[in-house]
Amino acid sequence: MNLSGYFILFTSMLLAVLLMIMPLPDGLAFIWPLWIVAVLGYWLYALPHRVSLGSALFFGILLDVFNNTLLGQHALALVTVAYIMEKMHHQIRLFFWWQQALLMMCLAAVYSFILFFVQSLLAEIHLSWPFWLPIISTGVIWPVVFALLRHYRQKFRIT
Amino acid sequence: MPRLYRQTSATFLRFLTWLLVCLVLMVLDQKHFVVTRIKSVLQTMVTPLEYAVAYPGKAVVFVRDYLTIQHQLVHAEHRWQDQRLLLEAQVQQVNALKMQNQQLQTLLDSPVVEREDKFLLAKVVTLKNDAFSHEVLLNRGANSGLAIGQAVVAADGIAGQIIATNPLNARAMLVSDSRSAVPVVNERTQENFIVIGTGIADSLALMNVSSSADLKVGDRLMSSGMGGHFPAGFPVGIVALIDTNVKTFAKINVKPAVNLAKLQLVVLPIES
Repeated sequence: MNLSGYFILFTSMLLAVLLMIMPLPDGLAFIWPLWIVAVLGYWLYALPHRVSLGSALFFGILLDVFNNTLLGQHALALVTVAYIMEKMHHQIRLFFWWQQALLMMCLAAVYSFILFFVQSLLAEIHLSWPFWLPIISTGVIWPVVFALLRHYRQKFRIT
Repeated sequence: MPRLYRQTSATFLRFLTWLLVCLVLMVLDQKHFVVTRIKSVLQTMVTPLEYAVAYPGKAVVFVRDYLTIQHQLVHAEHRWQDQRLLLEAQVQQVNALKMQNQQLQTLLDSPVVEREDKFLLAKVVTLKNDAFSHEVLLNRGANSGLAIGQAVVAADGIAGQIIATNPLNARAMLVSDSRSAVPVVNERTQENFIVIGTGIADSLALMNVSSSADLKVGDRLMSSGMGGHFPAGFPVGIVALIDTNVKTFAKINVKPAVNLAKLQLVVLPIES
C-alpha cells in the first residue's frame, strides 16, 4: 500500500470522529449515527491486514479526548467492536448487504452498551429511548458508507 | 498478496492487552492521576479541530442572520430597547436597595460584608448533547481564571458548572446532564429541593420529593446556594408537571430557566 492509501485510511476515520463530535441541531443529534463504527467496520471488513485493534484504540482515545470522557472509555468500546469484527470478517464477506447492515447495528449496540455501562459506574444515568436511535441509524447509513469507501478504495487501489 | 489468515490466539492476546491498557487508563483517569493531565494537554492540542467542526453550524446561523427581514430586525430592536429601559430602571432600584442594605448592616454592626462579584463573559464554541452527557466548550480557560466547579450562568438563570479546564478553554456540564444536581429553593414556599438533570435538554427533575410535598405547577425554583457550588438567587427552572401516581416519590418535571439547546453566551461569576 502506498502513502495515499494510508492517508485515505487515516482521513476517513478522522472524518468519522469529527462527524461524531460535530455540534448539531437537537433533532438531528438524536438520530446521528455512530460514524466511527461504520467506517472502522468497513476498513476491518475490507483490509483486515491493515486496520486492526491498534487503530481502534487510537481513534477511541481520540474520541475520549474530544468528548472529555474517561480516557479509555470509547477506546474500550471501539476495541471490543474491532475484535468482534476481526473474528467475523470471513463470515461477513458472505453476508448480503442487509445482513451486514444488521451486523453493524449489533456492533453499534455493543459499542453503546459498553459506553453506557462504564458511564453508569461513574454516575446514575438512565437508559432512555433516544439511546436506540443512533444504533438504528448506524445500520441505515452502512450501505452508503460501504459504497463510498469502496469507491475510494478502488480508485486509489488500496490493498 | 495480503495475508488474510491470522492466528486467532494472537488476535485474542492483542485484544486482551488493549483491553487492559484501556482499563488501566480509565482507572488512572478516574483517580485523577497523571492521565488526567495528559488528557488535558491532548485536549489543548485538538482544540483547533473542535473549532473547525463548529463552523458548519455557525455558518448556518450566519446565513440565517444575514437573511433576516428588515421589519423583523426593527421589531427586535424595539423590543430590546424596551427591555433595556426596564432593566435600567430595575438596576437603579437594586442599587438603592444595596445602599439601604449596607446602611442597615452597619447599623446592626453585622459581620456580613457585601461581596462585589466580578463577571466574566464567555462564548460557547460547541454544544454536545447525547444520552450520556450535555456539555459545552467555552472559549475561556484557566488563563482567564476559570476553575473546576465554578458556576456557569446564562441571561435567564443557571446553565451549569465547569468540569474541566485547559489554559485556553473550559468544559461546562449543563444542568440537564444526568450527572448534574443543583440545590434549589421553591420561591413560593422556601422549601429546599435538589434539581437533577435527566439527559433531555428541555426537562429537569426534582429528586426524592414525597407525594404530599407542597408544590404547584408554575412554581419558580431558584438556586439556594447550599453546598457552595452555585451562587444563590438565580433561576433554575419552573415546575412543569407533577405526577403523584408513582410509588414512593412524586415524579416532578422541571422546565429549565435557560434554553440549554441554544446556549451562546454565558457569564461566569468569579469571586473576588
